[in-house]
Amino acid sequence: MRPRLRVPITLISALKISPAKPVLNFCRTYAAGPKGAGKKDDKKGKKKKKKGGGDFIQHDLGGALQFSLTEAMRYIRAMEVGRNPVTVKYDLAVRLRTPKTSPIIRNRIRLPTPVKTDKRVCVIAEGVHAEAARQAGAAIVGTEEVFEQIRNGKLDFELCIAHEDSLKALMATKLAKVLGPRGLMPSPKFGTVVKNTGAAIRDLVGKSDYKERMGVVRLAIGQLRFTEAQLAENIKTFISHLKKDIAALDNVTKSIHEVVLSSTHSSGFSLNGQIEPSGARESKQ
Amino acid sequence: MVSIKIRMFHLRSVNRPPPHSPLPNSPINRYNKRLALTRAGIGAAILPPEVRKLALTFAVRNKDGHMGPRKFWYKYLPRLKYHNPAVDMEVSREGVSGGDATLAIEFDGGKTETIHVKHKHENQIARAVIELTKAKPVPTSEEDAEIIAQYELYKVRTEEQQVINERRRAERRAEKNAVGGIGKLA
Repeated sequence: MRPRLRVPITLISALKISPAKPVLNFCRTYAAGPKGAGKKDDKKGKKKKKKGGGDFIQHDLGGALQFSLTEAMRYIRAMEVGRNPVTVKYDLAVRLRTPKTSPIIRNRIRLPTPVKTDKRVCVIAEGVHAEAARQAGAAIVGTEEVFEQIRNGKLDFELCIAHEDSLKALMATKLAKVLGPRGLMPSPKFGTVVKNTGAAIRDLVGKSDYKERMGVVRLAIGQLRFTEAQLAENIKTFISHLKKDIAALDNVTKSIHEVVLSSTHSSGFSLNGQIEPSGARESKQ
Repeated sequence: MVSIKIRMFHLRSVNRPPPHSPLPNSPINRYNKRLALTRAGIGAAILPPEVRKLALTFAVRNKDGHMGPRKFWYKYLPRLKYHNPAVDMEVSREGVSGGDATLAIEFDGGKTETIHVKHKHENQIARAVIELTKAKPVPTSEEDAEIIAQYELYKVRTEEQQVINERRRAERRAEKNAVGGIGKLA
């Protein structure tokens, strides 16, 4: 075998970019301006063209295998055999028909059978409100000492609530940089900046968050030990909740395209909206 | 979300994976998740109703005869579970290395039989379970048989291709060394 001929990369890209026949390439010269198409300008033009709006791709479900809930659960249980029935979770992904640039769905839901009940809560409050939070079962309570902990990288909680009066102190610390990317930064928009800390904890613990990303909403919907009835109830509640969220959005048309049930180690099973293999319709679509 | 083409290939198994899918080079155990392979093959058997529970115990590490039980768990136990959804199946891997490897089968009325599975091949273990419980093997349907045959063929082809690739790589390496490496052009 001969050693392959190698052309420097710069040369290849130059060949690709420079128009082969300048006469035919009328549009590009026009777009790049009267001075002619330079190499750099060309690249920029190409990049801009790639960015596009439109909808997220919707695959045709015509030839797809779809399963009733019991069938899907039977396969999932077989694939998850011998795993811990509490730590392994059922996961629901809902694909939406939605434009790429539109307000996203983000909300909380209390499932009929909660997946996780022992959330560790951090409360930023002082005085009476701190005491109320402690009584409601918050794991970490305080202001300065909590900030110090977070600054040291000790984030031993899954939910962060701030009292109205302490929010200013939290803002001043610039900890939003640490908390924000993890989704822990308290914000009045998501109901984590409150007046009554005790009531807020009781309200928020046992709820699960969900958020639309790339046209898909995902949520841990149950533990492996759940029965068919429990899981069906959870899915029903979630889907109706999601539909309400969609209805609450203005000027956007979104609808449910596909619902996929999977678990920690299993494949994904597209659900056909029935509970039994040939039973009554579930309130899915 | 994974593209529907890939997901359906994953479940259904067709002759060829969809173009640009990550599947052809992925580890073979991903193919175990094909539904036909969960339904049929060794270990697809219906246990008699008096069997209550199977409890498999082995170590985390493979050495000292613990590979068989582990492979039995991920190859054949899913099939048993699929055909016997009501039977409890537990796997515990408490010891890190060494120790005893057992499969305890619990019957109605508290009777328990134990199979020692240390230093046993997964096929041997599956046979022992079926013999001991007098389970009825489930016949493989025609479609499933076809998919399994395809899968076997795929495995053989991959192995052949691996040998070819390795040989080519070795040739290229030898050539490169002989030339003294390809320097930078220009």
